[in-house]
Order: sequence, then structure tokens, then C-alpha cells
Amino acid sequence: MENGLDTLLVPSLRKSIEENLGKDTLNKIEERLMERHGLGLVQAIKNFHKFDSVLREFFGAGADGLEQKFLQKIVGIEKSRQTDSNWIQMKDPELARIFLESFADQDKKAILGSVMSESLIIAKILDSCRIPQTSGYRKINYLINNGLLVSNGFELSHDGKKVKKYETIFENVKVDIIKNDVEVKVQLKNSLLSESSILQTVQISS
Amino acid sequence: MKDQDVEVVPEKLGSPINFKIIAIIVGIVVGFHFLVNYLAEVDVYASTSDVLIYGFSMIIPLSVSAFAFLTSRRYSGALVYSKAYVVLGVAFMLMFFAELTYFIYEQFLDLDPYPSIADIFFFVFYPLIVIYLIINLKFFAPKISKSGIALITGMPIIVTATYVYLIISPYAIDTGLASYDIFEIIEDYGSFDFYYGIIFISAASVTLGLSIHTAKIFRGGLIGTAWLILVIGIILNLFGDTWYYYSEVTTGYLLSDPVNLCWYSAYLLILYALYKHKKAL
Repeated sequence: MENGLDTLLVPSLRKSIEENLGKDTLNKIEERLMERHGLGLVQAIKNFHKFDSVLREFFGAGADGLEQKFLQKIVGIEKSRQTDSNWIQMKDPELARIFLESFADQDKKAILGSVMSESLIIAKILDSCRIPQTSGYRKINYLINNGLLVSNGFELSHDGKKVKKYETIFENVKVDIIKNDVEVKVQLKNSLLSESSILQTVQISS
Repeated sequence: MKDQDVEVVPEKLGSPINFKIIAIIVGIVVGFHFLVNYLAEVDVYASTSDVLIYGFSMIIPLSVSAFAFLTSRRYSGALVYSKAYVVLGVAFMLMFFAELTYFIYEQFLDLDPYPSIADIFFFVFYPLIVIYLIINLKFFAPKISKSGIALITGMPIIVTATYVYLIISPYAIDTGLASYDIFEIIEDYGSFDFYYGIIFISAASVTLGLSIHTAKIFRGGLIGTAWLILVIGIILNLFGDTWYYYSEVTTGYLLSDPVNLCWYSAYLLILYALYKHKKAL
């Protein structure tokens, strides 16, 4: 099953890889990923150990520093002293914007709030938030596509079909405005961090 | 479809050294050396020999510089390679200016170019190579292991100490010197040339320590071969420098000196390393 954190990080990570290595090198890496694993870049980043193995083919042990470089500008991890939970700082402005936009929109905020502690199927989310279906589906899709909502199981419908249930990837969100800088920090659900193929492979710090 | 037509996906990407190119480099360098030395012995062609040597000494660093700038353009927008290749291009451009200055001093101004402003160009070459290596290191291996630190700091100490030892050991062994013919030609131990040489040798050896450490990081990767060739080039360059400054302190340097073989082959190997690096990525 796809990890929500990985889905959230993929677009920023792709951009970061291109900025750091350039388009030509990225093309060669993509060719090799397809040749060796039959995966495109986005899929390979979600299976980060495969992406890592191809980077090692190109750069040897230099892949370690490279992967850290890719992630350093996107996120920083802060380990909480009081609890085991981890806060992730969204360093990439695009990632921070996704969170800020989602919480600035009342409907999206309500959707996220409804599945913060329990997972629900889309119909129930719309019911509990009292949002019209058309805009509700659009907004839920936005949250799913950007990795803020992840599927974590199924519920059986009346006709016996399996319907996906969704939940948020985070437990808390903190927004600090320091002078002109907006700092978004997200406390992720613990399982997400430990199951993230990206963060399992790359050790980063804030 | 025949078996030989089946294209098998390689388990591991490889970038082996093309020994034909190495043979061509050796052939060019050795052939050129013999040619200019032959011409130097024929009175009519003596000046032609000098011009050829200067021309060759200028063309090679200029080629490396042009290649580095072209490659930096190819990687424009990429954070690591664009900067690194620009720095490398400037380094070899300065090397070209240094050779050009030598050429003008000797052929047109009839002045001794050593020491001269050319030495500033020669010297700045090393910090720029160090910057090139550090850009790569900072990007791919920001944390340096203890063995890496030992290599980076130990190499300049060992190489510089070896150079100093080569110069002063005859004095340390026997202050009489008269019994050793070879020591009689050491005319200026402790002179300007001696200390001047130390500065260059230590700077060149810093590049060696850093390049070996960087090559170790990329070992096993597709660009590992390119870095191995680059290290060999830097070793030859350092060997050439040590030989040159030793000659300056002892016998004196001649334009047709075999030390040129080291520099020519070093630059051509560096050019080949850059080509391999560009081809791999």
C-alpha cells in the first residue's frame, strides 16, 4: 500500500532532483529505472529503495549525500523530547502552500478534521461535513492527490462492494509566522514515518 | 530473432577505461616529446621546437577549459555540476594564461619567466581545483569520515615532507658534499626557489588528497571510473610539479625537459576523465 508521506513528498522530491542534478542526468536515471525496474520516476520514488539502488549505480556511495541533499530542502525532521511523535517541517514552499491552502478553505478544513482520528468512506465524510457532493468530491480528490488524505482500509457497502476509507496523514499541524516567513510543521502519524520508504532509506535532520 | 540480436539489460551499469584512448594519449605525449627534442638538436629548427612546445602547452589546458565550460553549459541549472565545471574551466583557463605569459616573456620580451606573474596563474590553479573537488564533496558526501580527514590532511604533509627531504637530505647526510657529484649541483638549497617550490608542491598535494577521497566515494558507481582517471591525472600533475621544482632547485629546468611528459599526460587524462564523466551523466 502506498505511504501517504511518500505521496506527499513525491512532487517536491522530483523537482528537487531535477534542480540538483539537471534534466540530462535525471533523464539518464529515469531510463535506467525503466530498464532495470520497469518503473517511472514517481513510482520509483515511492519505492525509494529501488530509486536508491539506481542512484548507487551512478554515484556509488555518493548517493547517500545526494539523497540527503534532495530531502534537505523539502523537509526537516524534529524529534519530540516529550513523546515519540515526530514533527516534520515543510521547508518546500509548495508543500507548505498545500497545507496552508487546505486549512484556509473551510470545507477542506472540515474534511481533514472529520478524518483526523477515525477513517471514513467518502460518502460519510461528505455527510459529516455537510458539503455538497460535487465540490466535496473535488476537494477530497485534491487532498488525496496531494497526499494529505490516505486510504487505510475498506468498508463493505450495502451491495457488498469494498469502499475505501480515508484518514489524514497527520495528527497535528502547527503554523508559525516569523517576520515574513511562514513555517508549517506537521506531526505525522507514527506509522507513516516508520513505513515511509523515503525516510527509511534517507536519514535527514532539520 | 537470433540470440545475438537480443539486447540484455545489464545487471550493473559499467564505464570501463578505454585503453585505446590511453594508448593514444601516451603516443601523442611521447611522440611529441621525441619530435621536439629531435628538432631542438637541429639548429635550424631549434626555435620551431620551442614554439611547438609552447603551442602544445597552451592548447591542452585551453582544450580542457573549453570542454569544462561547454559541459557547465550542458548542466546549466543543475546545482552541482554547473558551478563545479565553471570553476574547473577557470582553473585551466588560468593555466593557459600562465603558459601564454611564459611564451611572451621568453619569445618576445626575452625575459626569464621564472618567477613572474605567470606563477600567480599557475598557483591559483590549485585553489580552484580544490574548490572544484570541494563542490563535489560537499554535494555528495558532506560528512567526512576520520579516514577521509586523515587522507586529506596526511597527503599534503607526506608529499611536501618527501619533497623537502629530497632537497635537504644530502645536506643532512653529509655537509661536506664534495664527495658526491650530484650534490654539487644543488646550488641553492634554502633559497627562494626552495621555499617557492614548497608552496606549489603543498598546494598540488592538497588536490591529490581531496581527489583520492572523492574518487573513493564514487568507487563502484558509473562515474567512479572517471574519478579514477582524474586521480591518475592529478597524481601525474603532482609528480610533474615535484620534478619541476626539484629541477629548479638543483639542475635547472629546460623547455625540452621530460617533466613535460607528466604535465601533458596529466591534462590529457583529466580531459578524458571529464569526457567520461559527461558521457556517464
